[in-house]
Amino acid sequence: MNDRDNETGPDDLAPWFEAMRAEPAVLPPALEAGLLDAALRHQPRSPARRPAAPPPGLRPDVPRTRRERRAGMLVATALAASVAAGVAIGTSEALLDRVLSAPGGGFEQLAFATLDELLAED
Amino acid sequence: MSVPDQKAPAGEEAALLRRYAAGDPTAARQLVASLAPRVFGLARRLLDDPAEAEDVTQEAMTRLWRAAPQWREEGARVSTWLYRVTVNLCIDRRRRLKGPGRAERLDLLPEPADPRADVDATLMQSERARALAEALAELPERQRVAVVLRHIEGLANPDIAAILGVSVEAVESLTARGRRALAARLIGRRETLGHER
Repeated sequence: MNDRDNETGPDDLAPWFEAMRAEPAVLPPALEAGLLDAALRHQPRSPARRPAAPPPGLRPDVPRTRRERRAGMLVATALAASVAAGVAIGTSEALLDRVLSAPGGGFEQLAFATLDELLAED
Repeated sequence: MSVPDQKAPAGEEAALLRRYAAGDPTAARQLVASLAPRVFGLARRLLDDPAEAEDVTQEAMTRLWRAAPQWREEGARVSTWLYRVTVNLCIDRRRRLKGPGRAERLDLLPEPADPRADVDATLMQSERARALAEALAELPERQRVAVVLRHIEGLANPDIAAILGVSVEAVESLTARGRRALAARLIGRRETLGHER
């Protein structure tokens, strides 16, 4: 049997390949925005274009894995719930105040900051 | 072969990266726009997992930004280098992901049918792609990578050889064996998915 690739061989896989190629490789908008942000932050010789240094606890330059994102959201949810219920003490409440007052602060930043805080303590 | 040539000229990619390293923000946008979808597409096809593909895309592009200041014109073309990084990241991920539970993952289930007039054709096309993805997932690592790079991404054999670090003859052998294995796995689905011979 021929051990070299044969484009028009008897396997006739072209329609299957065509079906897979037809699926568009469109970047999810959040991913595209994140990639562009990372590109500008890593860009040399353009300090003016770099965003201001993040507040303590925020590390936006660290790529987030899916597991980190999930863990961060879980931790943030628990933290927010504990504060809302008035049971938060000490560092959690202070951390929440700090993150919510950060520029562009939001739930995702809260998640990352909380996770980073925990990782730093680990 | 009907795969469109998506590649920008090697000199154009290198020039963009040079501009990026010099601080041109428009070069950053152009590089993201031209390279990231290809990286994401390749990762999605090799991993069959959109979330993992996003992580790989982030990591591969970050490595490109870090490599930009030291990029040498006489080295590999930018896209070939990036494909090699992506393939290696995907292989690492697949090794870590191997285990139970993938079949039950909600985010791996097909999207609901598109309520358009050509829904049947769209669904059929989608099912063909899904069947191919399942068959690809069963191939040995290098055969899968070689087939995807050759027949889905449309790369030339010398480029694939550079990415995999093997000879062109080895690439031809890998793709030939991969195609045979795919044909054997898909033959039973030709009738139901509209590819009778």
